[in-house]
Amino acid sequence: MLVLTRKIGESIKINEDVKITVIDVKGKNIRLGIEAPRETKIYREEVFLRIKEENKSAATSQQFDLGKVSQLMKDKLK
Amino acid sequence: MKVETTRFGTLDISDEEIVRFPEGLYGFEKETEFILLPFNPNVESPMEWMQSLTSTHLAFVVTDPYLYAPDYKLKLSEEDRKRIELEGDDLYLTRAIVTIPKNYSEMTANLIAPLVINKDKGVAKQFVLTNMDYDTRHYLLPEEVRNAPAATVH
Repeated sequence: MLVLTRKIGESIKINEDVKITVIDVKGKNIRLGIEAPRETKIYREEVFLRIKEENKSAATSQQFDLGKVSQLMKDKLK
Repeated sequence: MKVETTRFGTLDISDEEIVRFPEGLYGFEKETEFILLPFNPNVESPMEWMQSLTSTHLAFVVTDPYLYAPDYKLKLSEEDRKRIELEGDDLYLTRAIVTIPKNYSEMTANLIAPLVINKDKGVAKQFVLTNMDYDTRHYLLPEEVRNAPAATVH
């Protein structure tokens, strides 16, 4: 991993078009400003973990009464 | 082609019915082929099953997120479109994976990570939305239905 030290207000650039600036540091929290082309996808990493967990929950949540769930959902299908 | 499944027994499916996820799903990276099946043959339903062709026991419940989040927005970028080989007039489906807990009236859909399926080419991907309006657990039913005791499994 490349490790860089930056001060508040300083930035790093990735390729020509992505710029990440340290906006503020308060205790353990660091605020980052990110400038990137519109189509760049920027995520908090935890979201991927949550999605993995949720996919696993969904895969194991199949012991339900098909008839009852069908009926309940059909009532809502208007 | 014949496929064994735990829930549906032996299925005879054609190649055109197969939905391919080249990257798999998050947490299920090796599950690359699925088939969509009716949720319940006897009742009209907004839900479907998505059965794995790799693991006999693995089937997800999926639904159309637009039914439960009227202002749901999914914008595919050029790069996204390429990932599912979407071109020209190709049609695509958007599906959200449903989690059904013990109290099934509290079922939720994962709206932040929709499945987008290129209907014409059978290629699909689980995308992750960058906007934070939706999360992994969006209730499908309104609060008054979720709290109704009749819906609870005893």
